[in-house]
Amino acid sequence: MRHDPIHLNKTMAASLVVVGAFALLAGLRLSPVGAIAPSKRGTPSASELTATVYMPAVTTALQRTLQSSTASRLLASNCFQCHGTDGKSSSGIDRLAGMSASEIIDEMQSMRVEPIGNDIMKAHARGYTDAELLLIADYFSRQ
Amino acid sequence: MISRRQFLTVAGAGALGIAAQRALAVSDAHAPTRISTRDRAGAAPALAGRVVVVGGGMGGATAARFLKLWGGAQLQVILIEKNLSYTSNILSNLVLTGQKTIPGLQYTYAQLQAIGVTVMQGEVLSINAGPRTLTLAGGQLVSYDRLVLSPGIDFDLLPGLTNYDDIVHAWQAGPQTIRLAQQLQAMPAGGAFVMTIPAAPFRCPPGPYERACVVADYVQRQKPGSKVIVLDANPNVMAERHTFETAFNGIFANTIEYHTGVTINSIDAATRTIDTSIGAIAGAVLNPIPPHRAGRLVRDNGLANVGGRWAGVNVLTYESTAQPFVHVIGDASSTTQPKAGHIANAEAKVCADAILHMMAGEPVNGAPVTNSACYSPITATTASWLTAIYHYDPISQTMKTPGPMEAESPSGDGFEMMGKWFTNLMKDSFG
Repeated sequence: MRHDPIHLNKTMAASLVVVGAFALLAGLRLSPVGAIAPSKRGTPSASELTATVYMPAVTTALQRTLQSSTASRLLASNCFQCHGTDGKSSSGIDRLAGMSASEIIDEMQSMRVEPIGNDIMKAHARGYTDAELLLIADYFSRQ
Repeated sequence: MISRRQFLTVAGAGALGIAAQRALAVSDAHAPTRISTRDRAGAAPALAGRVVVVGGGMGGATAARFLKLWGGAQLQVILIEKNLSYTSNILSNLVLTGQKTIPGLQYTYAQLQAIGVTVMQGEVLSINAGPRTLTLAGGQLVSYDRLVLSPGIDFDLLPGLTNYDDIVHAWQAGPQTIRLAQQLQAMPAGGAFVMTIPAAPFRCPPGPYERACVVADYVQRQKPGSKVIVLDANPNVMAERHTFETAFNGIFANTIEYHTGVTINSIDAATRTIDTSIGAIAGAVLNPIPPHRAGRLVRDNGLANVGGRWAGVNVLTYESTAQPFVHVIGDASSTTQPKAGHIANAEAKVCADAILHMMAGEPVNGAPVTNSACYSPITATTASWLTAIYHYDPISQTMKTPGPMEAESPSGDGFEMMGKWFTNLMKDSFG
């Protein structure tokens, strides 16, 4: 499972958003993890793989997703099928557009520790890392 | 790293631009990742060029829509589709029970056109990979910078049959679905509805089991004493095992007969009998679901490099492993993800995002995430669900999931949620 063992409280969440935003604004590349070049199809070289330095889960996942300038949008697009394009639901399923990032993160974190039962979101919420939740929440808070 | 402005200048130089773009992409392989503020600001990149999408199903419509939404006004997006509308396979089992109609499951391309996608009704005869053109049935040539194929599936002809006019699979929603509904309605009480399930992979892993359930529910109410005989080529239920095994052994125990590991020798349409590895089985209605293969365009253009049936792709971009500049998404591609509409929508977005980066000479997202989610009706008023989230695994270079999760039990709430899910999914795909 990809569940991060680290519980992310609001302060941590906020600080990670700040770190992420700073990195985005500054154009910094925090990790040696290589983005895959588009023309290079096939197997990455051994040096590419061994050059990868894995850091603690949250940081690493955050850095990985920062590799693409459109990473938060692409991640968030996993929610569009049920919650509407850009979170603008038109069918009675919760609208995510305009929710605050902390609201989304709080809800997702509660859902993924509750028994699943018949609630699809309690299962679905278990599938994303904390770092991914931050990027997703940040995206919808800006819609 | 070359700036966007410089790149666009180069790309504007025509053929030289394409060469430069390729060179650029290679030279960028080890360059530091540039993180722009574009995504934060929500502004679209000013990309020029042409992406042609062939096939207007769940994958193709979504790809065209998000290429346009994310690619901006200057990117030309052409969708080529032979039909005027798409008929949803999702929920089409409810046509068999009279709860849905085929016209009620149809979606046009009007909303894609409204956002600037050029929709061409036509059929692609061949892909000319060298010059990057398509030859259409009318003889026209359409050029592309990048091509996205979402051709769906074709069906093998099962031994003994010459067509699927009378004995239907109804695994592509449309006239066959209506025909099967008519056959089911005409079935006498006490009759047998015999369906077969091909070896995986097949479209919509829970689909055949869902069909068995909704037909069983229907005959229990409308055709007392009838049986639903399910002949599965697989060793067990291939999706939502808990849900379907509970239903087969519970509420449908007196109706569904489920057999595993069954192979079909031949089908006799005249006597409505299937000769199988467990003997000859006759039914009032036969509904064999044949083995699938990728759509013709993939097979006829050297792209079916996985078992001769499916298109091998790089799941970071969905670019074919056989042919550069050609991407294959949805059921026709061979990945670790299921063949189903909801995940074809997710694959289309990863593909669209990658294409926009590739055309800009930027690295693509190295950690894509996709999700599968699906509601399955179990009775006329209840539904279950499954969901799975896939992450890119750089070691195996595949999309990996810890495993699909499924509902504890089918419910009325699930049935209601199924309608809401379907509404938003179709809107996210077709606009």
